[in-house]
Amino acid sequence: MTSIIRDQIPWFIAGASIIIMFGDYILDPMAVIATALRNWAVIVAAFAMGLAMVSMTIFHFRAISQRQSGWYYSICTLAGMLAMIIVAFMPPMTGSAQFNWLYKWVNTVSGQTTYAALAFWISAAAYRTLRVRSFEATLMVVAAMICMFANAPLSALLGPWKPAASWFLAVPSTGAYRGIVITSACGMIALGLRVLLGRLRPWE
Amino acid sequence: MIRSGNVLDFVVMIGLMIAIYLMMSRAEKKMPKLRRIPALDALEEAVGRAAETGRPILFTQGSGGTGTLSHPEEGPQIMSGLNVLSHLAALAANLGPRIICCVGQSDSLIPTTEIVREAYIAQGMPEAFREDDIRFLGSGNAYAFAAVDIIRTEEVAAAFFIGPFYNESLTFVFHSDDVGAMKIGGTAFTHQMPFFAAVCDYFMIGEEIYAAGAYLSGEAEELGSVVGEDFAKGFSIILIILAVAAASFGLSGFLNFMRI
Repeated sequence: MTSIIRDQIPWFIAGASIIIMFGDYILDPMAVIATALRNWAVIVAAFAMGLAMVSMTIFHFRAISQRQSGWYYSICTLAGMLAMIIVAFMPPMTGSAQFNWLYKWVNTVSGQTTYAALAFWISAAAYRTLRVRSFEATLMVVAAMICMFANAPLSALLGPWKPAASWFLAVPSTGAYRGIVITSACGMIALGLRVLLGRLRPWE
Repeated sequence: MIRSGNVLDFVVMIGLMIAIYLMMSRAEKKMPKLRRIPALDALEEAVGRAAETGRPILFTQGSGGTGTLSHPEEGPQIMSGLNVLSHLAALAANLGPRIICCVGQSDSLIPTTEIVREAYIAQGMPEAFREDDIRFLGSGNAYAFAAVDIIRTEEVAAAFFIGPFYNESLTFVFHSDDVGAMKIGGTAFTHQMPFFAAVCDYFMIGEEIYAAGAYLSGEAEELGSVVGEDFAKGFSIILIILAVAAASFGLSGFLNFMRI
């Protein structure tokens, strides 16, 4: 019985979902079932979000009650979560001015601030990568320099970098990316088949 | 009845190739020979290093939001990451280091928790499983910086980043580098590949993460599907070369046949 619940039923659900969604891609009559399946997925995901919130709340409550390291941050997390929930339920729900204010001036701004920190990491990554150690590395350094010069305002005085940079981005770079995308698509098909045939069961 | 204009024939052809190899491997029980994937070979080394230093290992699958498991691009990557996690958790249960999972997608919290729990139970170490170490951190930048805090405060010995990553990828690898962690990355998102390739110790490119489950299982049937996948890729390359040649020499018959 346990094997049926833990193994066979999830496999059947996964296999049926793959067949229905693939069928929707080519057969018109499958559209109704596929739409229903998509709606179910949204509902399941919404419940998953609820469960995740419960899990997060329990974790932070425990951190506060046991005075774990950084417990005061847990207070901020729970207070922020509670504030957003309360404001979201105030009429007219998520359209309220308070909700939008919190979202725009707290969430978006802090997100942008952290996103901006990426500039330092990208510079450090470029420093590590752009070291001339081999012929291939030299090619990459030359390509990277041309692309960087094309985007730097003052470098326009030194020469016409734009056409060369556009060629690098449109030909070798796009070609390599498309190769990766095609092979990834083959990998995805193989993964789907392994799930469909019951050879791969990530839920086990 | 049947919609036109979709690439059904191509998908079916590739699917058949993979399925045939999978079946052949099942019938012959012959172990196909695959090239090594260094990132997957390094799993044991990373967990061993964590066990020696007494520091935990960190596993995360990137940020997301609601419904990532049903997302066409993110879902398969998350499933592949969970396959790696299953092996990683088994290794951690055997060798001893704590495994901390930072979850950025609400719908993968339960699968992640259960996979780690099952791995500990399967290794006969259910008491070593700590549910508090499977942490949902929200999504987006909140998730990214909560994970960074865990990387730094726990001083992880090894960090695994396998799944659909966005701008958080670089932040993670640099902070992991700061605490001296071994970094293993893998994603099928082309916009994050250069960053992982630049900074990670080991990196899985695109399709390698999809093959990870089969590679780690070591079973002939699953490996057969990877060999079939390689034939499908070879077939795609031949088609691309033929289409380029046909377009260059104006062979409209072939292009019409290929619906290009």
